[in-house]
Amino acid sequence: MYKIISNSLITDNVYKLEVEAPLIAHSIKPGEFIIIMVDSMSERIPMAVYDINGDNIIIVYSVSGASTYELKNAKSIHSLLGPLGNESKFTFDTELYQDKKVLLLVSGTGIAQVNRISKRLNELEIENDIYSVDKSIFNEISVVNTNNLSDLISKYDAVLTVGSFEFMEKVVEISNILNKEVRVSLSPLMLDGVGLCGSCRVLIDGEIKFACIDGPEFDGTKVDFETAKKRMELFKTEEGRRYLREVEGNTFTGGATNE
Amino acid sequence: MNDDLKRTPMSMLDKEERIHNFNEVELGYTKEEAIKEANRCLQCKIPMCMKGCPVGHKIPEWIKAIKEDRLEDAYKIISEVSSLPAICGRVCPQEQQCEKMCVRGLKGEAIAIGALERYVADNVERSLEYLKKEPNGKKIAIVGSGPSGITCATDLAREGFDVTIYEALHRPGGVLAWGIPEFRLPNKIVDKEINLVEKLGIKIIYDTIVGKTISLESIIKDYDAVYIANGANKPKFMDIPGNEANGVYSANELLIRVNLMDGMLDESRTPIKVPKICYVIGGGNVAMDAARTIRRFGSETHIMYRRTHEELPALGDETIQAEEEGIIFDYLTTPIKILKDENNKVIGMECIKYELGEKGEDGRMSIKEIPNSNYNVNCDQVIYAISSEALNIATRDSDILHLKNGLIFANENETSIENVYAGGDTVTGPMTVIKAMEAGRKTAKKIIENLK
Ligand SMILES: Cc1cc2nc3c(=O)[nH]c(=O)nc-3n(C[C@H](O)[C@H](O)[C@H](O)COP(=O)(O)OP(=O)(O)OC[C@H]3O[C@@H](n4cnc5c(N)ncnc54)[C@H](O)[C@@H]3O)c2cc1C
Ligand SMILES: Cc1cc2nc3c(=O)[nH]c(=O)nc-3n(C[C@H](O)[C@H](O)[C@H](O)COP(=O)(O)OP(=O)(O)OC[C@H]3O[C@@H](n4cnc5c(N)ncnc54)[C@H](O)[C@@H]3O)c2cc1C
Ligand code: SF4
Ligand code: FES
Repeated sequence: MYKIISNSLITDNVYKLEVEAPLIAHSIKPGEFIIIMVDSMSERIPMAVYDINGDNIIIVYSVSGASTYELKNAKSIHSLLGPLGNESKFTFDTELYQDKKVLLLVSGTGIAQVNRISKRLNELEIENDIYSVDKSIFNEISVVNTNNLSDLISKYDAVLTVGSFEFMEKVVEISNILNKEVRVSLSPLMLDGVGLCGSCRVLIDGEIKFACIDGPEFDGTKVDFETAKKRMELFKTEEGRRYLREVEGNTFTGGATNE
Repeated sequence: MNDDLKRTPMSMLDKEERIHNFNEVELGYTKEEAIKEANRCLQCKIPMCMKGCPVGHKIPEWIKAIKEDRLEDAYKIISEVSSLPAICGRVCPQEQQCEKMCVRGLKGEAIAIGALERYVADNVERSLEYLKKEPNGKKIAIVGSGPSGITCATDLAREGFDVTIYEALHRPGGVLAWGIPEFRLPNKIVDKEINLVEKLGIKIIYDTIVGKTISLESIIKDYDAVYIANGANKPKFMDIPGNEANGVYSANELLIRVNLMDGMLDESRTPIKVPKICYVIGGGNVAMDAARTIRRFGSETHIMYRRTHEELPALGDETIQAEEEGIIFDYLTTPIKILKDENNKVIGMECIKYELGEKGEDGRMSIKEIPNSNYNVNCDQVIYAISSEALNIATRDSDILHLKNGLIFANENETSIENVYAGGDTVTGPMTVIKAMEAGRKTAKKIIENLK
């Protein structure tokens, strides 16, 4: 059982959760993630760690279906597993980026994945900026119009993008044209998060990789987005959305922070 | 003495009824049945059955105790070698071990040793605490709460060691908890066994991935010895086109959804996709477990296997029960392509037929493809149960252990680092519960000797 310190709304449908988890707080590196279970009958929800506060970890999430709705109402957390996945290449292979300018380009709650990467890059004195394509969750984050992505990317040496598969695919396409290094942090369907099931598999350069143990960050030019997008439909059930509409009434935004 | 050539049958759930629920299929012996079966044992002077047992169960001794209705004694004899009898009695491949060697099997059927072991475990008030020695002040860390880790922990705790098990998942038991289904091994049986060993003072720390949440180096530093027993469970996918289609799963995924996450219960929030027609590819226990699981959700279920009935690696009883439950076996066939529609959904498979060839060096029949035998089957789900490999998150980030194709390299469970041991599936590759237990037990013995 993990203690919830706070769990509150920050902007339409987006919540910030602070949980006491000392082992994870002291071991998780930028780019790694965790899996949460609210109670013993809950689903396992994969989440980035937005920030660390002493012994606590901070999650930023949008309510998009039954499980995130449950999280919103949680009184305590049953299970917290992590760190999962690997550290971001940008903070791991630091000498590669010493004199480079890095762009962290996100949509929706993708901000949660890049915040700690950006902080670490600042510590390493590697120049970096965060941009979001939609009305940002946090006021201090710059917003870029999707029509101006090309101009923005051209000002940087390397890009890390996090968001919906559709959005990341577009960023990769533009970065390719501009001949910039582009990396993506993927969020496919996941179950255990420790390599037991293969539900998180993605095709990287035609080869099966498990995002939870080989990723979540990959070379953007190698990702097969076509199949990745289609696999997301698998459990993104109408049921989840219907459920939310029922409990929330018509005010429900559908967790559309990505769109 | 009972000289019936046939063993005493065990009651089972009705086959029509059981495919609608996850209740345990084999119901276990009653006292009368157990004594009747125990009376078939010849109490051999040189018991062949013991030669077939990897952990050296004193089989005729405890069978004699059952015969005389001295269950407490039977349990004590069993406990000398096994701390998980309710589990072994249910899932050990006895037919390939003790029962295979039993002399009564030469003419007629072998003694139902597994069923008798289970009878003892299920019917006696159990406790292991009477075996516990005074604390000796030494600390041991174990990575993984599967059968290997639990066995090692139990043997060490009995000896007075202070034992901590680190477990990645939120439940103990490894494959026993997330893999082997309720209808063969109910979770409450696993939990009961674990409770018993916890009473010896063993601490299990969940949600903790060694190599991630805490480093292997730190536990090597903090403990007098470390036993790595983290299994080998990364599922393989066939190297054919279409694996990315929606509706293709590993058997592990289905089993985790249903067992670890309680997907068969209404109150569980983990979704299960129930297909109309499902093909499970493979022929081992994992294939049977996956097929029998999805069958219980009402799907038409096939098992597609490259060889024939005779070569199925699964336990005989499981195969029989799968057949009884209406699972259709498609032998000498393999998929070469998964067919999908424009929405990436599975709609079928292209398959080819094989024929049996010569017997290979490994004793198994070779197979060869029949040219132009391609044909299509319709289905909306494909589940791979074609083995798994080691992953070793615990050792992946530290370059201190020699890895052999993902497996940890250990010589008689000793790794290249002093006081660091490894065993079970993570050293051997996917094997059996009893082999994993044996490795745990041998390691405990070594640790006890080496730390004296
Ligand atoms: C590595 C990783 C990091 C993530 N970090 C964040 C984060 O920081 N903030 C945040 O808001 N969300 C994050 N997500 C997405 C989040 O896990 C999903 O939004 C959530 O699982 C949706 O569950 P639901 O039941 O509320 O929604 P529903 O849409 O009803 O979900 C139904 C099913 O789809 C699955 N699912 C739906 N969307 C996703 C998705 N995007 N990724 C994975 N599984 C999904 C769920 O497991 C569930 O089985 C992350 C996902 C991954 C894989
Ligand atoms: C579906 C299925 C059915 C089977 N049926 C049978 C059967 O009928 N009879 C039989 O004899 N055998 C059967 N087997 C095989 C048997 O279950 C295994 O051989 C046995 O469980 C291996 O035991 P183990 O302790 O080595 O590993 P596991 O049981 O795999 O346990 C390893 C444990 O370590 C944990 N872990 C992994 N990495 C870490 C880490 N870094 N930090 C902390 N913890 C970690 C895992 O979560 C897991 O709990 C079956 C296997 C499967 C998958
Ligand atoms: S070999 Fe068979 S008959 Fe002989 S002691 Fe063992 S179980 Fe009894
Ligand atoms: S989530 Fe199961 S293997 Fe990645």
